[in-house]
Amino acid sequence: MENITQAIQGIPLNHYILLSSIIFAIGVMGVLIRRNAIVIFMSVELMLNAVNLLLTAFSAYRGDAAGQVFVFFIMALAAAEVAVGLAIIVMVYRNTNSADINVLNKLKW
Amino acid sequence: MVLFLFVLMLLNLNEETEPLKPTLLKVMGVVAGMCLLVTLAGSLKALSVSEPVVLQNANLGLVKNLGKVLFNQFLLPFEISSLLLLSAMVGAVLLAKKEA
Repeated sequence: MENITQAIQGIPLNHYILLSSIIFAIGVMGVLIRRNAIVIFMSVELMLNAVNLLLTAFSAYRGDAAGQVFVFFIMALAAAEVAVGLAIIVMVYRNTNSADINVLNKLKW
Repeated sequence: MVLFLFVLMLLNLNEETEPLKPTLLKVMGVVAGMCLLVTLAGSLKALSVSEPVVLQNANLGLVKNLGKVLFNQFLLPFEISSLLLLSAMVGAVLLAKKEA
């Protein structure tokens, strides 16, 4: 247990940034290549969580608790966004019988 | 996350109904994502500082400490976020009702 704590304390800041970048990029790719609305929502959530991770790492690095408080706000915002978004998806699914975002291209006209 | 699971269960999606993008678009998406990743990693490389993240203050992330910051420094945003959650809840209920 002591060993693990020691190892975690030795991780440089750059590795945290790199991990967050990778998670964020995975989220972006998920948004770009999937057409299922729910999967796109999950990818957006992944991006938000990458930013959360980065905020927490910076908060620990700087010794400032404000970063971790921001994480709370981002979580609240994500919850609100997911509630409304999923309601919209359910409504679209009821009307079109699919969660495909391409059926929404009729919104263009 | 629980909400996601509920909606997945509700919508009864399976492999035949899974919409797929054309392969070209998928490749373009992966390329774009990789470009973003390379840009971020490259800018990270230009950043020379890489000190280990050491907690100077061991009780920084404790609930007591965070609560103090949340309810003193960030009291107004906290209250406003309650408004946001309430309006989101009302909006979700309105949208999800059968005949809105």
